[in-house]
Amino acid sequence: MNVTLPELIEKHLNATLTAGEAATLAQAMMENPALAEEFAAATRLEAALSTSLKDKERTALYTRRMERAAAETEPARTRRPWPVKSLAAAAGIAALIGIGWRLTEAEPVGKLQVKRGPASSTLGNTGDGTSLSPAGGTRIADASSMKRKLRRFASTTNRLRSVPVSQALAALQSEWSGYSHREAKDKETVFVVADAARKQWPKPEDEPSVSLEIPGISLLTSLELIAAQAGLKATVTAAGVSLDPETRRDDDKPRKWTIPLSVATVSTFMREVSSSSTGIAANWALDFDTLEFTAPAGMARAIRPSWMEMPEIAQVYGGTISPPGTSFPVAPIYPLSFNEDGTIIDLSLAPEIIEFEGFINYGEPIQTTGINGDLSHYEQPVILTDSKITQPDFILHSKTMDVTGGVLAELSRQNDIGALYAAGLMQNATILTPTDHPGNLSRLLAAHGMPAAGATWDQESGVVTARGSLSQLRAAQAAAAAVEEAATSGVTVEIKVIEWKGAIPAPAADHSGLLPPPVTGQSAIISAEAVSDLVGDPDLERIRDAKGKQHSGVPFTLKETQTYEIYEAKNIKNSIEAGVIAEVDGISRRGYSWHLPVNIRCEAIIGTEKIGDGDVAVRASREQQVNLHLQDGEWLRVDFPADGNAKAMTVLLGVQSATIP
Amino acid sequence: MSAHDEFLPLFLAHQGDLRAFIGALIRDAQTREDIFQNVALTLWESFDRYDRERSFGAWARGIAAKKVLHEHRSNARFPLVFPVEAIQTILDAYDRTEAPEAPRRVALRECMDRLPERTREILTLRYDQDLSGDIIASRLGSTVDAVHQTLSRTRTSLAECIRRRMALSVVEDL
Repeated sequence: MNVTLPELIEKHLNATLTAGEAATLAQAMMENPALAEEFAAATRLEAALSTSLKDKERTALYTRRMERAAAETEPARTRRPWPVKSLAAAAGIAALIGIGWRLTEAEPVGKLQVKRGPASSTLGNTGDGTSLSPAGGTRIADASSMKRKLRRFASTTNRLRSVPVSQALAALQSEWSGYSHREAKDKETVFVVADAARKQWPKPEDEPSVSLEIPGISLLTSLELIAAQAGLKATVTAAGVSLDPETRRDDDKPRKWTIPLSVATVSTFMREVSSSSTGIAANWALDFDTLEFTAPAGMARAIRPSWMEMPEIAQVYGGTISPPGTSFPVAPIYPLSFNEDGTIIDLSLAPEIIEFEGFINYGEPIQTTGINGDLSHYEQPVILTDSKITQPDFILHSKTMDVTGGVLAELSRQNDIGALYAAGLMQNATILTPTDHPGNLSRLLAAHGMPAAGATWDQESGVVTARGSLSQLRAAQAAAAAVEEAATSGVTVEIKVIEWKGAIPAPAADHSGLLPPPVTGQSAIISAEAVSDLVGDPDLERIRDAKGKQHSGVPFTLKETQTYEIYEAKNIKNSIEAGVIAEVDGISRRGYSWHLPVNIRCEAIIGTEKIGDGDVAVRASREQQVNLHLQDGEWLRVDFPADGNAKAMTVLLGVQSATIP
Repeated sequence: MSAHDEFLPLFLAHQGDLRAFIGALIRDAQTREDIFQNVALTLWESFDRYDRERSFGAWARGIAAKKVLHEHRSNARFPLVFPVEAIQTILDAYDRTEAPEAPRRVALRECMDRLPERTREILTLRYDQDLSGDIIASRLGSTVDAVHQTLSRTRTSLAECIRRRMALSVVEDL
């Protein structure tokens, strides 16, 4: 059968080109540059597809989730009927143009079946000789769906050190199974080590150890990270995840790889992890005017990652009021002590600031009484010598504060020593931020399977040069990918401010699926302004007073939009008379943790007051901080009860989309 | 500013094209990755010698071609798809058709949004999970030929869609 040249290119892309066909295609390309260009375009598209699919999956996660949440929010009676006419027309057109287009419903996810016998598939096993596979009819779409679910599940399992891989897997399984999933079938998802992988370590002590010490990453990335450390690969199926042997085993041939890891990424990650690793989940009140440097209860002993070198206060210099050169440095203060068990113990930091005031003369002049013979005058003392005995005089200022690593990290994150000074606690302190310790990155890689000595990171160019075996380099690459994910993932928070009036009951507190639809002619939304104060942005200034300003490059917009569409808006718009509904899009780079602390301030017009000839709106505002859980994409309802003249308000918060900068 | 300060942005901007070029010559995924890493390392180490007057992409692909040739000569089992004479031809074709990646990437995403769900899933299996046609077929309960045909048709329609969108954006720019 004759195969055309374009068909040969397609065969190449499908990896089915024979040696003879390859020679034919090569010859044709050498004779015909246009064909070679066609080949280049085809292979470029192939590479772009690979990149795009991976990126697309990441960026679309939250959008899809919120779309689903919005769809579920729509009350049953307001759902639109099937667009029969549109579908019929579309099907007719499709039939006319000969497209094999079918309207089908997605098949449900197949239930797990347990079958006995050797596990030959990549679906893994339960460790007792059974293997898991999806029931017949399970579509491959379910595997992709599973992958998406795992990628958007922010894992909190990040404090495992050198544990057997099956134990780490069990911890992740437990986290997943213990979560209250919306879809009950998700609980049946299983994470297993494949039989073929287990055969690699016949004795229990042969089982490879892995660590998970990178906070702020998804469950999928966690699985990939432990798999890489164990020399395995994570295969996602509709039934769950199995850790399979790598297709290409380690050949012990030393290799050298470069892994791009920009300084901005590492910097952001380190700052973030320096806080979260101590258990302080970025919910500090970062206003230094009111910040109390007292460790909250329960934070005194916090586990830190084994690889983490905490920031330290280098030196405290005294006296900003003293001229340069007259200050005396006090010995360096190391506010943290690390126990061997990897915990951090609070130390009371008592910076002592010494100012040089001048000299005090402790000597006294030696004088005598002179007689000048003139009786008309009193005797005048005569100073024989000044006899100065001068000593320098210092004034000691001391303050006391309790310090945890988290506090220090927050302080260093702010990079605002002036705030400390303003708080009256310290003067001219220099705090080293974690990024000043590039050894952190080497230790992180070492904790996750890449020998520290084998990896060097060039901060200026943002490239890690790693040398090692294939499996070590895979582990390093997985760790780097995890760092990147932790540093760059973020969420956009959407805030909807809603007020219920009249006889319509307020929604139930669990989630917006129970929101009642507003009734025509009744005001569902009066007026409100929402201010999102996303605490804890590690890299840039905190986001506050979100009035549409640009904060240090953080995209932050205030859109005066009517955001109540999902609550059947068309009959309500006319009733909106005053005020704005504010939809705040804030990007928090630390948002990819299991919860996101959000400060909400609601301001509502509660009436008018006549001043002079005009009416002036009377406003009332209240503030509340909530933790927005990101795991399930549900709306979080926050109630502001009536207070004095201020009316009750209800705010809905939801994650709108993920952001990969 | 040191020369290496420039490296990462340039490398990241061209790594997709570099991967494509290496992938055009080698189909084995692991070997491709090894070569890519080797090339990246060489680029990094010899960046001081990079001539700023030239395209970074062309320079990177030239080094990649030499790496492939070197590996092919030193390892008889090196999985090079084409005879070595074809490498220069493919290299030249890549150089002639070099274009910024970003606009094409945007166009591709827009085009992919219009694909049916099932087609997207097949693409995901092939290009995200790197599964071969026969494994995809067995998972889908389909035939290898059917999977390959779907992939071929999809690639063709995507290429056409990208071409249209790129042409449209040029018109809009005017």
